[in-house]
Amino acid sequence: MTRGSFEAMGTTVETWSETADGTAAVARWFEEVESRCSRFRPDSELSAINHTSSTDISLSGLMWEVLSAADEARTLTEGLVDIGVGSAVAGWGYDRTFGEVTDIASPGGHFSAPGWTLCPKDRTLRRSPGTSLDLGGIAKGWACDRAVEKGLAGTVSAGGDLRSADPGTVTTVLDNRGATAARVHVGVGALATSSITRRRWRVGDREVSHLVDPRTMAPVETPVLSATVAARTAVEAEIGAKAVLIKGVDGLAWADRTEWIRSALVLWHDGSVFATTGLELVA
Amino acid sequence: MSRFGDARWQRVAAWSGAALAWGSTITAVVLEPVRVAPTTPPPQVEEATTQAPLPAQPESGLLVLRYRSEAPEGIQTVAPSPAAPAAPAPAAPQPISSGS
Repeated sequence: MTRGSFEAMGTTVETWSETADGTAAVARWFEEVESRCSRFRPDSELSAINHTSSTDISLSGLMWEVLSAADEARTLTEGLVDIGVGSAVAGWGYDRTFGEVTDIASPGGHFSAPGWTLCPKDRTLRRSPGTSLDLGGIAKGWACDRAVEKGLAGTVSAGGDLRSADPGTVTTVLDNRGATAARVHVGVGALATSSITRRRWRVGDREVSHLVDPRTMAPVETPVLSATVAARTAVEAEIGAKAVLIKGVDGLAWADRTEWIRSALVLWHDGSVFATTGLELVA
Repeated sequence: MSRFGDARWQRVAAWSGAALAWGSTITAVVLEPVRVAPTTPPPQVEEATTQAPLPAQPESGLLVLRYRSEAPEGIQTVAPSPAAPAAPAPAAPQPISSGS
């Protein structure tokens, strides 16, 4: 087993593969996805989508797959995870790579609710004026999923999103101070953590996080500092973790009764750690 | 015949009015010390700021892996803490264990 890592999508990607070539192959794959799905690259397909005045947009095969995953994510989370919050994410200050984000005095304008649909017949995106897409978390999870499904590596982890084909995969969930919250058996499947403690900045006198609630188009306020979800795929784990964060007090109960979520864990605002009983803990 | 003429009734009325006015003043003066001055009520302290809310109970039970009755330093109880320190990725994976 070979372990490797590289930087992509604003985070560190780690791979475990049978050969040293695995990491390079995964790195090439992530570059391909990022070159199309990054909203920070002016020449990416996503930037072209967000900047065109057209409401009906033809998509590449890769973008169609990512947006299809995002469409399903929106359905699975009852609209809580919606890539159409891009204008609010940028308007609240996250309009450049996070290392360059600075405090701002006030959000830049009023943000209308997300409005976008996919047309399978001709593989196009129909988007309401003012709706901008942010593929951040979905693209990251999707890239992990496809890398493993393509056989490029046995396990791929990108900034908290992990997809594994190895029955022995175990991961440690850390709290916001770096202490161990739990050791979890992932096995063949996926696990993702979404947190509001890492990417934060100030808007006026308010400190905000990067996670926008599509119901308010404003940064989420939640008693959950981070949520970890185990699921079949990294995309499902990623969107599940985001939904648990947004749901706040009801997040764990929702995860518990949601069929596609295997288990969930939350780091509470007071430092407590709670989980659903399905979580496979490792000593 | 009335014992009082019109002029006398007018004097009685004038004295009565004066007495009433004087009495009101005295009453006001007497009441003044006990009048409750309008004040700004103390700010209401939400119960949640001292009593941490708990997650809704899942149907199949809740695992409590770690419980803290008091908020740790730098973490507010209602809103996520502005002072929350930057942290490493919460789900940084450990080396793969079994299998291969």
